[in-house]
Amino acid sequence: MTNSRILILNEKSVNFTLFCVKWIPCSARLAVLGSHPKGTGVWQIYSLSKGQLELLTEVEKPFAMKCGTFAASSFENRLMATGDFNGNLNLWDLEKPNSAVYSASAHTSIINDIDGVGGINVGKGAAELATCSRDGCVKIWDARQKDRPVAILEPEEGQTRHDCWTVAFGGAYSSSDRLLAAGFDNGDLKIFDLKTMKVQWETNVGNGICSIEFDRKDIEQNKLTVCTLDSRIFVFDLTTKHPNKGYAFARQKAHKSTVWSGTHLPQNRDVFMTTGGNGSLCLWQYEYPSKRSAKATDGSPEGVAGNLKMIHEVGVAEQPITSFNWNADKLGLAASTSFDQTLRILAITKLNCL
Amino acid sequence: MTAKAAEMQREVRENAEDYQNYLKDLYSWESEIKVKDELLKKASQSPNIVGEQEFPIRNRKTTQTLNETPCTNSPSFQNSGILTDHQNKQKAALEKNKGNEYFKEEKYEQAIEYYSKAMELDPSDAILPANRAIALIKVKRFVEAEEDCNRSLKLDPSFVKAYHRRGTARYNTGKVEQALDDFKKVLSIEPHNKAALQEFERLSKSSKDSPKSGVTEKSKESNSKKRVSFDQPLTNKSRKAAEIEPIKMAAEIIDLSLKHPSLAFVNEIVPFPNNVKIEPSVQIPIAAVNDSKQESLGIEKILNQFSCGKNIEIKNVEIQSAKTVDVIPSPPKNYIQFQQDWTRLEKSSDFQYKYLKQINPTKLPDLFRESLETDILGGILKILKKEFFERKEAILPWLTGLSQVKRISAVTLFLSSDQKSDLEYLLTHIQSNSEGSEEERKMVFQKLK
Repeated sequence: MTNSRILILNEKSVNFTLFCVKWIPCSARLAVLGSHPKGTGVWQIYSLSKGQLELLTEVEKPFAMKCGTFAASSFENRLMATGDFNGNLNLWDLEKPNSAVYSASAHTSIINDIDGVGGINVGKGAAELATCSRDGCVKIWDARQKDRPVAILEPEEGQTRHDCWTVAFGGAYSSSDRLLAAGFDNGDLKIFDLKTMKVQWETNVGNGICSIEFDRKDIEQNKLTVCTLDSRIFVFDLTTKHPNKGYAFARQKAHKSTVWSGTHLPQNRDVFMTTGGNGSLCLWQYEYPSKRSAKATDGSPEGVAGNLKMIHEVGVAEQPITSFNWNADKLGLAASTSFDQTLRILAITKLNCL
Repeated sequence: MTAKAAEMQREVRENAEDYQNYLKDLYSWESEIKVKDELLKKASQSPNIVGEQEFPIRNRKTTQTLNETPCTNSPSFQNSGILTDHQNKQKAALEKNKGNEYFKEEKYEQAIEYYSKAMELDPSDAILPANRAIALIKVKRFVEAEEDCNRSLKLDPSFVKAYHRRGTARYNTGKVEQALDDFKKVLSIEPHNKAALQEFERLSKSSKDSPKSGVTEKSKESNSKKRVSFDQPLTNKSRKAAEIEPIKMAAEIIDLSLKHPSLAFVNEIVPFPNNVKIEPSVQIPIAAVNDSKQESLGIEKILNQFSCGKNIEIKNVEIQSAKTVDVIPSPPKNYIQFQQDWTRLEKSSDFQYKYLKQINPTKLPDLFRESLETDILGGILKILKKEFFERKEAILPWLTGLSQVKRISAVTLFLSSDQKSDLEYLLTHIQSNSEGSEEERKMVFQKLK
C-alpha cells in the first residue's frame, strides 16, 4: 500500500500576483486574492467542476489584497474578511462585491495576516477577526462594532516595533477562552491569553516567523506549528509549561529555503503541510512521544516534544509557494498559490490511512 | 534491477489508480457539495437569517450594541419562563427598535407601547424611559414624560437627553424655573449643544403665561418629520404678541447660529446666503406678518412645510438670521465671523465703519490669516476712504495692518479698477498728510502697490 502522495489535479495561470487562496466553506468554490501590477487589488472566485477550474467572478478593488479568511463568518453569510496593503479591513459578501459589509481602517500599514474564530462552527464564543500589520500591532475586531477594534495588542511606548507577520487564534474551547498567537519579523513569538488580556508566553525562535498555526482552534492549547525563515519548522507542545524553559518543541529543517506556510489538515490535527520558497510542498506527520510530560532536573514538569515525520515532499513550482489551504469538506483536497502567478489544485491521497 | 523496475512500475500504476480513485471520489463530492452550497445561498437570501449572535462583544457590559445595529431579523424566542437576563435585554432591544420605527412614523401611541414593553424587559436601560418620555411629549402627556425622565435619570444621572426632555416636559407643565435648571444641566455637560442653547434662550426670555407646546427641540436619534404645532392658537393673546411669537418661532427654527435672539423687530429681510437650501419663498410671509391673523397662520403653514423633512439640513447649515441692523456685532474672532458681519452691514457704511473701529488694526493679519478675499478688501478700502477720511482719522495704522496680512499682494492684484483707485487715493492721502513715519509709509507702499 502506498503512502499518501501529493498530486497536482489542476493548474491555472492568472495575470496578477497571487497572495492568498481560501476555499469557500461548504462549497466547491475558492477565492484567490492578489494584486495587479498597477497596485490595485483583485479577487477571483473559481468553481471546481469535474476537476476543472471555472472562473465565476472577478472583482477589482482599489488596494492590493494581501490576506483573507472566512473563519469568522457563519455558514449562512460566508463573508470574506480581507486585509489589504493599505491597512484596511473589509468584510465582503461575495454575491454583492460592490460595497463591503464591514469596513475599517485597521492599520497604518499593510495588513500581513488575518485570522478568524467563532464562525463556520470553529471555535466557541463571539466571532472575531485578528489582523496584524507592519505597524507592529495586532488588533481584534468584531463585525458588530464599527470602526474600532475590540482589542489592540501593541508594544509599549518606546519599545521597538517589529513587523507582525502572522497571527492565529486558538484555544477557543469555551465561549470565554481564547488565545492569540503572533509571530514577528525578528523571530518573536507571543501567545496572548484573550480572556485575561495578558501575554501568556513569549519566546524568540531566532528567525522571522512567516506562519503560525494552532493545530486546532477549538480545543485547549495542544500544539503550535511555527514556520520561519531559514528553512526551519518548529512544533511546540503547549500542554506542559516549564516555568523557565517554557514549552517543548520539535524542530526540523526543510525546503532549503524560507518556509512560507504551515497548515494543519482540518480532518487530522497531527498532519500538516508546509510550503517552501523553493516551490516545494512537504507533508508532515507529528508523532507524539510515549509520555508528553516528564520531570525536569529541577523537579517541575516539562513537556516532551515528539518528532516530525515527513510523509511526502514534492516540488511543484520554481517560485515560492506562499499560500496553501486545505478544503475542510473534502479530505485531501487543497489549493495553493505561488509567486509564479499560478493557482494549483492538489489532491493528497491516502490521508485516511495516516 | 528488475525487482526495482518492477517496484517502480507497481508504484506508478498504484499512483495512477490512486489518482483515478481520488478523481472519481472528487466528482461525486463536488455534486453533493454544490447542492449544499445552493441551499446555503438560498438560506442566506431569505429574511429569517439566524442573525443575532449569543455572545456579547468583548468588553461590552450591556447589549448596547444592539441599539446601533439595525435589527434585520426577529428570531422567534420561545417564551419560557427561564429566559436569561441576556435574552431579556435582547428582547428589550427589539421592542425598542420597533418603538423607534413607530416613532419615526409619528405613531407615538404605539411607540409608547413598545417602549413600555422594552422597559419591562430591561428595567436597567436608561435609554428606554427617555425614549418613552419624548414620545409622551409628542402627544402632550408632559407629566408622564417628566416622570419617565426621572426614571431615566435615576438609572443614569449623566444622560443628557433625559435632562433635555425633562426640561421640555417641565416647561410645558409650567415649571419654568425647573425647566431652566434642566437646560442649564444639559449645557453644563454639553456646552456646544445648539438645540439646548436655543431652548434655554427661548425659555429664559419667553412670557411666563400660557405654556407653549411648540416642539423646538431636535431629537438627534430620530429623523422624524417635526411639526411645529401651535397648541394655543393665538386667540388668548393680543395680536401683536401673537405676531411676535410665530416670528420668534420661525426665526429660531431657521436660525441656529443665532447669537442675538432679539427678533421682535424684523423690518428688513436680509437675504439668505446662497449656500442655504431653503426656498426663498419662505422669507416673504415672515416679513409680511404685521397684519392679520391669516398671515400668521400662513406662517404656521409654511413652517410646517418648511421644517418637515428639512430638519437635518437646517441643523447643519449655518444661516444668517433675519437680524435687526440696529446692533453692531461684537468684534470678530476670526475671518469667517468678520466676513459674515461685514456683508450683513453692507447697507450702511456707517455701521461698517463702527464695526471696523472695534478691531485693532495691528490684529488684522492675525484675524484674516490667509483667508482675506478681494471683495472684502475692496469693501474695507472703501470704508477707509469714505468714513475714516471724512472723520479725519488715521488711516496709516489700517494700511499697515493690511499690508502685513499674508499674501496681501496677491489679493490686491485682483482688485477692480474702482477699488484700486480707492487704494491709490488712500496711499497718496497718507503721503500728503505725512501720517506716521517715513519708514512705515514706505513699507505700506511696498506691500500694497
